[in-house]
Amino acid sequence: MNRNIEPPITEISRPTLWEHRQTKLSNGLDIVYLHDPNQEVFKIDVIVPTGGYYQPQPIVASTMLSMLNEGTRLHTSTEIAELFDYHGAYVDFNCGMHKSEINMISLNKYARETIRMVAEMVLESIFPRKELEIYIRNRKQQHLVNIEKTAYLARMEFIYRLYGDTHPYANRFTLEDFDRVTPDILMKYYKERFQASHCRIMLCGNINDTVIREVSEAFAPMSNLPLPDTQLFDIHPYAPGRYHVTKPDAVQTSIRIGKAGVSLLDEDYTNFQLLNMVLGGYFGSRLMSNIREEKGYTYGIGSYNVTMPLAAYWMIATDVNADQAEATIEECMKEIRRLQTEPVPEEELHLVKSYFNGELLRELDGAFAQSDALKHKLNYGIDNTFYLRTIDRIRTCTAEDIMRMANKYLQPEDMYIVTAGK
Amino acid sequence: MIKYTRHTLDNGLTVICNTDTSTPFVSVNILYKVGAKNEDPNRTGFAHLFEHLMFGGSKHIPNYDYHVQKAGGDNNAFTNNDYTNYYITIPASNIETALWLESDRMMALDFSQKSLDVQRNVVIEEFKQRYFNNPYGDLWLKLRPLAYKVHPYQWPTIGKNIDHIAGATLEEVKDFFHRFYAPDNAILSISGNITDEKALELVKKWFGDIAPANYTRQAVPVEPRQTEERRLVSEHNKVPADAIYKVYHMGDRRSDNFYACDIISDILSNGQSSRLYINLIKNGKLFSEIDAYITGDMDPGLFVFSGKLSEGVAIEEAEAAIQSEINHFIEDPITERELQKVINKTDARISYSEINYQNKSANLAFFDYLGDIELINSESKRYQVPLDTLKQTAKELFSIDNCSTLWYLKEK
Repeated sequence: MNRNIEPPITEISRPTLWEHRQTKLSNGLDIVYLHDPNQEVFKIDVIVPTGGYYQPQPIVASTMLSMLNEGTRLHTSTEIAELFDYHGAYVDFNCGMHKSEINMISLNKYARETIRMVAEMVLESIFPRKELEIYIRNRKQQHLVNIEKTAYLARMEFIYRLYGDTHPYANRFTLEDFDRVTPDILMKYYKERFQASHCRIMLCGNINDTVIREVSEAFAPMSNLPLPDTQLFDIHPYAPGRYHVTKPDAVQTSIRIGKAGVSLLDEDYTNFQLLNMVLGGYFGSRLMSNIREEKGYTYGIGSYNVTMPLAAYWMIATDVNADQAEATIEECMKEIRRLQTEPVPEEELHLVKSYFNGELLRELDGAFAQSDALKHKLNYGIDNTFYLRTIDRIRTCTAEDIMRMANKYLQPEDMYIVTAGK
Repeated sequence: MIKYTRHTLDNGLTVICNTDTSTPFVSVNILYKVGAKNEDPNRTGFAHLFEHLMFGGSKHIPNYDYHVQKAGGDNNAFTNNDYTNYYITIPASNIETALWLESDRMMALDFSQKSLDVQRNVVIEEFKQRYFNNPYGDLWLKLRPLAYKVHPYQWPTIGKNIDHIAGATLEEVKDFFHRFYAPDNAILSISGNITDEKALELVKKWFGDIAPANYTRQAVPVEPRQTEERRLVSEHNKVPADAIYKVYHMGDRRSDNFYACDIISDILSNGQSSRLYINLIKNGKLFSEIDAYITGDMDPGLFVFSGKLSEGVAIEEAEAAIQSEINHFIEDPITERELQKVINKTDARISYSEINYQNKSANLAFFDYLGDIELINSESKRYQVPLDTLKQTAKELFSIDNCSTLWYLKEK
């Protein structure tokens, strides 16, 4: 056997999309499910139209969501926790900008008990004052821990400069905002926005008739009123350039370099993703090879395109040896310029395409992954056929396309360069 | 129920296969039976530094990652005190790429001064990122040497201090490789869309001709029984709240004591209906976070209480509250429902962990390393511990002579 010759590689297969089914309750609640009969567990995601974009004041959306398991008309917070714990179910909350989620994973044999309790939280929460005080106290302390981290400080400064003083995407709040949240404000917000025809339930795993029946029954009483009008916000960004947050004793400096990104629905999305990958989107990327593997300035460096319904941003993120911060920024800009002026070699482009194809196959591996992928895509009005189109786009993308993307989207004069450290 | 087959090749390599046709991928997982506990006390952090060097290229393959990525694969690794684990997940049709890469670096890693120089810096930055640039990040650097006086668990996998990493030489790297990176010191497990027969055949093809190390391992020193209470106060930390840690020596990963301790920790603090959460966060308002857990090490490990204090609470008061929960556990009844809850949660946790093929391959290798691969299917039975055993275990475990306490105080 000759170890110098690599084994032949077969082309990565196209993902097989699981068929999802859809049904609607009479109150307009949309139920989407992927059934895998080989599982003995299932997952439920309740997607609700709340989030940082639609809130009367800071902290309210996330607090309301996190407080859903802190008391209902029928059960105390301890009874709710006891029910989920006893049945081995895990509940989680995920607050976004426009949509938020209540997630639960449960054994099928306890579907009845656990689904009913999820529905009770969604339909009959009461936001008790005592629990709110505890929640706020702990959240404040968590905030104080966060502001000791340079990575947190740099990220917050970055989105602030990018989205300005008033836009919700900047996620601005003060310590005082925590104390201004009251049970009444939470209740009003909850009552206004949890409306059935604006929500969706995703189910995956073993979605047998019992699960469907329990969900249908439990969520049937959900109200369905029109949502209140929402205020729309304009983005008033600060000027691009250098911004620094001082943290005197920090041994590392956190760096964020970036600008507006490319939206999921944009024509350029896939090509831009490929560009991002070449630069900083995988372990073998140019930034990793240069800043970590060649120079050893950092444990890790990466770049990301984050897409939200009304805007996207793109950024490079790293924490480096404080003495090498300037050198790192310079190398980042050098790598960007190189992508704008030199075509990516065929071999490298081929590598990135293969890796990207593998990643997409991974994102769709199994019922649970497909459900998560679909949940995200449905929020943008598309479904998982998005992946098949992406795979076709990857195939046709050329080195010239990558260079065009770099010149269109990564102009140095548009960049916000944020550092947090000494 | 996870079905698997297990073989040992002539060179000592253990091979475990599990077929899972629900995924188009396979996971190729290699566990090397070497961790931070096998290090020289004067050269700590070496097992972990070495893990980084394993990605620096091997005799026939200068760029490891390149080939993984080209085949649509993904890979990662971690080191802990007991072992070092590497895995690749890759489309099943490209499994030979993974076996080619793993066998080549097991057979002959390419030692380069340049790679060592760079990875030393990378690991030093990792050290800073995790331990110094992170509130509470360095507490295990203080707590481990308090709890362990002899056993190498007294240092974390990253090492005792940065100087140990900065001083590593190429000779030491080579020596480490020849001792520990060999088929007779490794467990290869494969899970995914491939038959057991085919997987075994391909493993034999790529790994069959690698020579064993036949290295006689040095015994890891045993921690003597702790005979008196230990205390340490760390002051002037740049953190927003005081924190307290109380740790107790417990049994090893194979012992009945391990399972009893795991249940005790779950009754105390698993979930928002657990005792510590209700009594100390919700009702007592003494802590913003409180946790009881076990470290889960292979050799006798630690039962840990960790808590962050609420604003204005005196640390003495917080410590007394933990002690009172301990007394309550020993003296007052545990309800059947509390116990059943823990059993249900454990069963559920095991069910969830069987969903993912990569988890399965890693767990199969780990249980085999423990010495009883069948635990992957039978472990839930070991959690059936009678109530009186739990109380007796707690009584012995939580003896004051067995305790080390760290007060981690904020800047005044």
